[in-house]
Amino acid sequence: MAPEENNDFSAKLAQLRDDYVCRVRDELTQLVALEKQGRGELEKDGRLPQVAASEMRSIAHRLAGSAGTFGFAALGGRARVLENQLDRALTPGAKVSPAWVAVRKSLSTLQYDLQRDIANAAPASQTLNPLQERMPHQDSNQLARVAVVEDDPHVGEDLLLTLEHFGFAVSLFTSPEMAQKAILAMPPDAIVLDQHFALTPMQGTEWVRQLQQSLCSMPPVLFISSSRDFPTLYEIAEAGGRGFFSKPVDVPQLVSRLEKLLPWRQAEPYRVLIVDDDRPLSERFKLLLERQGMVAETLDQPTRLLDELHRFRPDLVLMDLYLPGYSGVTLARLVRLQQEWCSLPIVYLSAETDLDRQLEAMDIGADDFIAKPIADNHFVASVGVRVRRARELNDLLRQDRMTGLLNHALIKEELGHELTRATREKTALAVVMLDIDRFKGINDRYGHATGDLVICALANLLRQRLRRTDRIGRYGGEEFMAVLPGCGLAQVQSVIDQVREHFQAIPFVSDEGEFFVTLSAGVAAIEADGRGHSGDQLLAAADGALYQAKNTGRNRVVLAATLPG
Amino acid sequence: MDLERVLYVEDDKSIQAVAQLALETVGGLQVCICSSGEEALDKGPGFSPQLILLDVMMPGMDGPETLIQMRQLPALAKVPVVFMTARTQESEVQGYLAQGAMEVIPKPFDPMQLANQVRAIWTDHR
Repeated sequence: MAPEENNDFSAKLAQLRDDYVCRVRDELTQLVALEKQGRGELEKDGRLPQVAASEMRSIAHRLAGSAGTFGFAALGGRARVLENQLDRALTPGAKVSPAWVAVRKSLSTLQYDLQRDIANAAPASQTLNPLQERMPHQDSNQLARVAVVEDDPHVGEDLLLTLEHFGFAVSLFTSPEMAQKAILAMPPDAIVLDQHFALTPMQGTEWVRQLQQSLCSMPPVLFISSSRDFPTLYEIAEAGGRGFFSKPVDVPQLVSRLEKLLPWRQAEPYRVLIVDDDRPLSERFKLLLERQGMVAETLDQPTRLLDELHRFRPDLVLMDLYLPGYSGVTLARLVRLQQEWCSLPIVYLSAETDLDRQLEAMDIGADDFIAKPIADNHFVASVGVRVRRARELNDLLRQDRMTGLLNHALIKEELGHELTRATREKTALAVVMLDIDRFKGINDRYGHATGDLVICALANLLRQRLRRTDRIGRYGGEEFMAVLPGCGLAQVQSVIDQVREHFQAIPFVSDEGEFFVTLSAGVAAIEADGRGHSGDQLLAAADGALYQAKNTGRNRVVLAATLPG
Repeated sequence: MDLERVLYVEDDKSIQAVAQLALETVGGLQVCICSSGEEALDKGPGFSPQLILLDVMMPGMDGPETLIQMRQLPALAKVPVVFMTARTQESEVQGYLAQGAMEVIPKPFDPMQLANQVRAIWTDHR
């Protein structure tokens, strides 16, 4: 295509995507109405509402087949789950009530995901711009898509269900040939593959080699197999396998590996503050960074610098060395005066080529230089590499080492930030305390290594199930805390209750066989019109609710009474 | 002979629009879009397509039924048909092939890749 055709094409695609979003909203409203109608009929006569279920199935089917084309692959994956559940409900002899409960839950997850996907989605022109190279973290607002290639349908179905509990969008392929076609058409984020197919003589490793020939960037492949002899392992290593799991597959282990292979997925977009008085130039820089999926803001008034830092909380500051009336060097020193911003990386944007001047600037507080003028692609690459390094360092300092979640001090700090923001913007905010039930018993019975795995499984589940704008931390031993901006009590209850249900469905493997674990949770929230509560009050309320959940039988979510306004 | 004319049968308007863009603008193909099996049987012979892309699940006459009817029309009887579907379990795919589909393209498709996929199928078929 010629460049102008390409622009035209992108604009048309963007328009189609916007139209599609409207349509999906309508269809979801229809689904909700049909579910309600179906539930009414079911409660009345105990029979499956055939008409409502069939209609819901065809809507889910359409969504499953179309959402990915418009850049909403995770939503498509969820719709597929709903379609499968309706299929099961419509199978003669199915147990109607539990099947309908599953459908209902699946639908509410779909609603939650839709809001998240649409709210987090990059502008359409960005997502579908064919000219643009996509950085991996541009997709980070989406759930990870995993292709399971397993020709034993029972093993495949088990894997699919458990991975879905963890919140992955899973496609199951029982045919290796079909899997290749689908993966070429839309590569997933990771592949889980059986090394020994039962129905074809081809081995998994051979399948990978074939796929590698046609795919420019191969997603990570995790192998599963019933034999773990040396030649098999060697073959898998040679084919570039990124993990190996014996059957029966310990799915929480597999998920831990997936999490490590897809770290970008959890990340929020990088945030860059550009301080420059040359507005057209800083707007241009902002646009370039935004095209790479970063969030950028510009500031031309140095006097507002500290306010902006507090509000925007950037990962990195790009600062012009000479601003009218101010010196960039002194501004950097001023920022460094504040304990809070001691380690914030500052990079000078400058035409400065004098080495002494650069060194002086570095000594005082800037970490690096980017010399102007600079070609667009160099600018993007330079900032990209610096902001990534800054984020990685920061994450390392902030993380709980075992789970990769925020540590105790930082999750409390995040609560403070979010509370300030919620008060300022008059939005709702919820705090959740979660605790694994009878955890000591698990450690005593199955050993600490297994106990650690249970903790990591819950951490992974929370990461998958909550939005990436939510903050999640390990509060202590087996206790977790989450902060959900923009959510009131009712909404959080449904989300956390789903987490609870998914968690209790995850099979853990031990020497004594499979076992299951439950959790209890307490939720407290301020509503959009509420005000004046401290983080400690919210925490105490959530903690009280958790205590009540423990005392009334565990494996439940309890809401704190609404805090007085 | 290069692939030039494709008949595309799909009831979903959003997918129609993006597929048209993908096949015409990206792929440089001539495309005739039909919203139902009935419309395809009506318009297809006049368009003389070289290849037919057929959605499997459509209200009224579905993909397999449309294929059977197409085989009755001299102008379409020998034109290769590719099914497009979101249901790609092994048994389902075997079923489509048994019904006479030459290939199956899984949904969702990537609009940037669709024309390539269709051309690759055409080349293999030749």
